[in-house]
Amino acid sequence: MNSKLFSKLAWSNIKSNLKLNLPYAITCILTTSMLYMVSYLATNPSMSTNAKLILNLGQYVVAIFAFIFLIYSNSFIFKNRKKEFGVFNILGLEKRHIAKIVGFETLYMSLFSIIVGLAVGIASSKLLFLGIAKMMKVKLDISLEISKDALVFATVIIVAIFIFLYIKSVISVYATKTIDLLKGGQQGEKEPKAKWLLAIAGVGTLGYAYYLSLTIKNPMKAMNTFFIAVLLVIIGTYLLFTAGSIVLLKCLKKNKNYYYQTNHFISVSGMIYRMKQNAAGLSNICILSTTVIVMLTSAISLFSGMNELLDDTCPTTFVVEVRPDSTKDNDQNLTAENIKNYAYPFKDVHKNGMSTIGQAQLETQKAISNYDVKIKSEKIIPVFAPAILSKDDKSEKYEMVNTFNLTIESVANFGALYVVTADTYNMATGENLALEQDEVATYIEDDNNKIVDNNKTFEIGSLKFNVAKHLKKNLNLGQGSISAGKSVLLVVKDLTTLDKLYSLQFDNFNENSSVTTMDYLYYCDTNASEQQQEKMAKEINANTVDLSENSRIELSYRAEMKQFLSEFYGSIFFLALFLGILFTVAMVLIIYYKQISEGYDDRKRFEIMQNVGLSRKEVKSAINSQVLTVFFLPLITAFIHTLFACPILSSLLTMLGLSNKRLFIVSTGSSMLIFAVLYLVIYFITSKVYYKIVKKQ
Amino acid sequence: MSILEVNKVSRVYTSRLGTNKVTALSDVTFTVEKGEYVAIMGESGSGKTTLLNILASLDKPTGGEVILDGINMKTVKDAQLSAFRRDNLGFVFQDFNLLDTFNLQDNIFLPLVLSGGKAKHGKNYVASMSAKLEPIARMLGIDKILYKYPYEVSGGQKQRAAVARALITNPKLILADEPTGALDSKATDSLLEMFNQVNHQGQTIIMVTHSVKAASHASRVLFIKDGVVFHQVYRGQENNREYYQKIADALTMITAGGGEVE
Repeated sequence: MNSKLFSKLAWSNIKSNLKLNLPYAITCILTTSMLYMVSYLATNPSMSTNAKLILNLGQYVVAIFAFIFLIYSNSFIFKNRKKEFGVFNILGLEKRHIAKIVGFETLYMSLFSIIVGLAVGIASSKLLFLGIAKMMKVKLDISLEISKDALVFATVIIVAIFIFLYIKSVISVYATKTIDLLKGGQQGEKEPKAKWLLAIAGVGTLGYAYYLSLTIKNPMKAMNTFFIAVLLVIIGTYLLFTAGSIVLLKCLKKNKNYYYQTNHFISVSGMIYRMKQNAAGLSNICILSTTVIVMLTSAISLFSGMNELLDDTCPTTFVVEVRPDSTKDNDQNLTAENIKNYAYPFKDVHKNGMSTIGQAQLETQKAISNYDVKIKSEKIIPVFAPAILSKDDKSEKYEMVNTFNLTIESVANFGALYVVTADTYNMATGENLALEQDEVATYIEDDNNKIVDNNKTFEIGSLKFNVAKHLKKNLNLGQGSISAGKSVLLVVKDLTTLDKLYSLQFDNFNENSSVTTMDYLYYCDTNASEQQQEKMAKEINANTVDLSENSRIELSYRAEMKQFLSEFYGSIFFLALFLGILFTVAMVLIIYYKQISEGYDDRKRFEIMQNVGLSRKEVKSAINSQVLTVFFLPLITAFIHTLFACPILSSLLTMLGLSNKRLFIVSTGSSMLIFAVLYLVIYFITSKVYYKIVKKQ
Repeated sequence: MSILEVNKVSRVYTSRLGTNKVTALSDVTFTVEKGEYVAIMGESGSGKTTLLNILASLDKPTGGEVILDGINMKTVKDAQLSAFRRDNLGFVFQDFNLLDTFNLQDNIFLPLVLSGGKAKHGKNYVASMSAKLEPIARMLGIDKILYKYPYEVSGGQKQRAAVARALITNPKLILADEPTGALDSKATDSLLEMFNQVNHQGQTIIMVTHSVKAASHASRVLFIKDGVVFHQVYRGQENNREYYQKIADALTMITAGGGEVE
């Protein structure tokens, strides 16, 4: 017998089994294109380093996922084909011939999926990128070139998977007796054993992951904790679905009064087998669902929080910031001597700063006057903004610290301090606050933007003040809003008191310190268009170059900030959407296979139960409730995961600049809703396939 | 008193467009007395499966009526048909129809649990189910393997479990469809022996079979041909061998296409 015959046989096998092979081929193609697309993103030169890091990891996660996923689909196909091999065997083909046929089939399938899959990957990466970019009206800075690295990566992984599948199939053909091959998938399966230890481990890991998320306090630490929690959730979900579910069902079965009831009897026993076969698939679905929901939530929150963020970072059309102390001297050359030279006395620094910001104001006004644009409002705010460290939760005393050498630990208790005088405060807010020399007004916010301000005194370093008033609102200075963690606004009587605080900062100055001194902020709100803003900004920048000799001067304008934000968050949103679509497709395929394989299993059960005296309607409702349970278990678990992820996710988003809790809650709710609807649609479409199989008699 | 009356039952299958009519049963009339053991024989296509389906209320006759223990099956509503079947009939199939997801005991409990479990059988229904099962299992010799799964036991043992499942509801009538069809001769013997025992305890049995040996255990054999009861053989004073011969002769006669026998 020659190879030609085998290759022909293999080809006709693929064609004749199209009902099973077509979805399988589609799965292979989509997996290949998925691998290409993720790798394409990861190797894309225009990705930021951070994104690359995550995507690089994502590349391997997707590869592992592809591996598990293809094994899952293949074993399903193979189970249904055993009978065919048995017939071949009986008709006189030896097992090595069958191995050859399987080899050709695998070869065809892999060639097919690599060629079509890569083509689909290349085409859809371009289309998706452009499509999403257009839809969201953001400019995406992503190269559309075909990535050679990604082509190689996807091909290598797919080839490796197919080789593995081939070996697995051949071993299985050789290891199975002909008669058992003939029986194919009809052999009874052993009832799975209850694995208590694994189930308990699952509860433990999941519980610990939830605990980590619930007790997160420090947004700076959230990133690391998040990765650990994600890993734990994945492990916990797998353990709970595989071992936990069976332990639970077995317990239900042992409870005879529960078990021997009409609606429990069929579903409990059926579920035990269902879980044995599908636990891995279900946990995959659950994890994918959770990932999609979490990504959707973050993306929606960030994207819809963008305008708020714009208001926070750039509250008016123009913001000019002047730092008279100038850390523009190379920071490394700072010695205590140098510092004293330009940071003292406060009086001079202040005078210098006020005059520079005044000139900047004039230049800005001049630039605006060239256009037909009105100044709506303007103000100058001098603010002393060092860093502070609150010693710990118990102590009420604050210490100022150097902003160098910060570790994640020290950042934990780190917050931003802003000090303004009463005059400035009144000017900025229109209030009428009057303070004595030893009095301050405070506004103190915790990590979660909640006001935590009820002390009668305020202690910082060696200074102690009486708190005359607890303020209800922060000053929007436009620069501190990306600060995660605590935020303290201190209003003091006048410049004299400010000077005292100013000097305090240098008391513990040393070589490793950095210096933050006074900030002079000029806010100017106009009705200039974006193009006008850009032109004006150029003029202002050109005219203030001279001023920056002994101060650092920085101009930011709204149009520029807006573009920066929309690119930054647009890219995040885009990535989330892209990966979301990818994962959803994978999930649809898993669900599809699950429904088909369950359909074939249930067909026989359906018949027998009818024969024993269950009406068609009763059988249908029994099977329906079981299918529903199995189907919605992953969704409900994913929802629970998401809810528990909320604290840590919100912390992470605070780091990225989103501090609006209500927006976060709305985003979480809406992404869960969107996902639930999507899931339902998938369910209804795939369950049609299921019922078609079951009804056929 | 007869437990089953089959009166002029006919069944005509009409193709979808109504152009082709196939008569499966044209005029079947017979009665079964309580405690009787009746075998139905006939060639493939003779209509015996159709008859069994009608008796099992899985199919409806186009003419005539079936009266089970005084209840005309026509009057049973479609919605109640399954419950009626569950409560009054027990089934034994050629291919056992045991669920692989249940052990033998649970397979046997299936009809009881399906018919209402706790709600219908009261608080101690689990105990009462076990009490019902115990004598049946002992009689059928499966009391030692109740916790095994169908795929762990032999064909004969599976069929005995299936018989136990049919018996446990204490049905008015047991319908067996080729119960020995998938069994080896030893298992066949022991199963038929068991049917005899069950019958001696007063259980009415109707069995469709191809096997003369199986039929020879029944007290009466009905032969169906071309949709009518063509012939009947009663067990009289003959010994087993003679009775067997009588059935075989009748079968040969019918198969060979002969005329009246008597």
